[in-house]
Amino acid sequence: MMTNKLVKTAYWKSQELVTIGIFAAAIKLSSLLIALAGGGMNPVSLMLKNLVFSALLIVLLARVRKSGVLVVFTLVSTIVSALLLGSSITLLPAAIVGALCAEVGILMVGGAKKAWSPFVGVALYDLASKVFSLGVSYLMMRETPAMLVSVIPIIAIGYIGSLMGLYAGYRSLRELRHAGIVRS
Amino acid sequence: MAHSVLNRLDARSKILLTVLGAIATIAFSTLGAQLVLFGVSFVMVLLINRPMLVFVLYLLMGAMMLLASACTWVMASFIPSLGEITFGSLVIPFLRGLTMMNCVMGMALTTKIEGIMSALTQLRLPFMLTLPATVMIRFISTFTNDVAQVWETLKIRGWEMGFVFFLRHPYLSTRLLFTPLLFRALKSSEALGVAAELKGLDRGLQQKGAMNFQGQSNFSKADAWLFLGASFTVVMATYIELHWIEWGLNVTRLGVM
Repeated sequence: MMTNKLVKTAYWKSQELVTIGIFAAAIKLSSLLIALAGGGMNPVSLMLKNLVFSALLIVLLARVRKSGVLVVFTLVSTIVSALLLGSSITLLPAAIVGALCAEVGILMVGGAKKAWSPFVGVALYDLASKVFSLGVSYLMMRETPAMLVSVIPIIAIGYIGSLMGLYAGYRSLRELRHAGIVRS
Repeated sequence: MAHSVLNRLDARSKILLTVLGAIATIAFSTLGAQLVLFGVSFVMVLLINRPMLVFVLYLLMGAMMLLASACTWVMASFIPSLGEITFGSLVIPFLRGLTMMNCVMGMALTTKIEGIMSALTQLRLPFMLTLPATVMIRFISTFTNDVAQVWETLKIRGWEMGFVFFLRHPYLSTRLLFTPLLFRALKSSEALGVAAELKGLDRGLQQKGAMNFQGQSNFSKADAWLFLGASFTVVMATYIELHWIEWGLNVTRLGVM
């Protein structure tokens, strides 16, 4: 007698998880590299840092077309950055809420398989995580609201860089598709 | 890694301490409570036994605080509705930042990579986080070498990367740095992904694989003392928060009305 056994497959393939890990490392290091090469905190290096971040994230989302990539990426990147590089763990909740907002946005445009979903996801992720980071910053600086106001232009400059990164990501994806490295 | 008392602590304890530090610094809002948290975390950071590094970090943090104070003063001058700046209102956010820096430095500078891997596994994090985290930790060092190679190549080709070059040619400098890194990331993810699939990692780390990361680390007496100290600090800060609300605040007004 033949029995049809349904084999339950895992949602995440190891290849996809490896890709997320490698891109998380590349994004973290490229941000550090640009900050060091640009001579610390200045508007140009801030914009370039965000540009490269968004462009690499778009390539990652185009490579791994599944819901939840941004959440996994955020969790892994923030936890490892805090443990290894000493970045603040207080930004984790803001980044996760930002990632969840972006995932909802991706679902609303038709899911991760759609051609525009990486761009919508990254644009929303950057915006939402920056807005929620401002919320966390407010909690940290609630005694001095003027300090928070002086942070807003810096975040705005960063977001301009992210928007430029959307175009850079679009151009990169086009080239990678031509080369057959990323499939549509 | 310099020998320190903190090396004897379990990585999980240090992670929990950092999370507790983050919650406590945000929750407390009086100068007294923040001073308690900062004082205890500063003692912890001194135990790292790297005074020069701590000095440099505090110097950098001091420069950032001066810059932030100047920006705040300018903002408050132009927008009076933002409120007056007092000693307490300016110092408390900085103390929060310093306490967080102390906690994170205490954890990051005294924990070996295998300790972090072991802690991630022992915290029973799902496989979808353990595998990318492992890959990220492993590839940060590899990418650092790649970045150094890219840097050398650019120098050989006559591109002097630096602040001036970034300002004059932002688009070109992004292309020069972004493209090699992107291709390196794509190549590595392809090769390592196939290797992971062939190793059968699709079914998770499994017991044998997880054992490789776990090692022999267990909570020790030092961890118990750490938790006791952390609990005492939080209780003391809570007492001060509730009973010494106005202590140290409004001592000096800093001129902006």
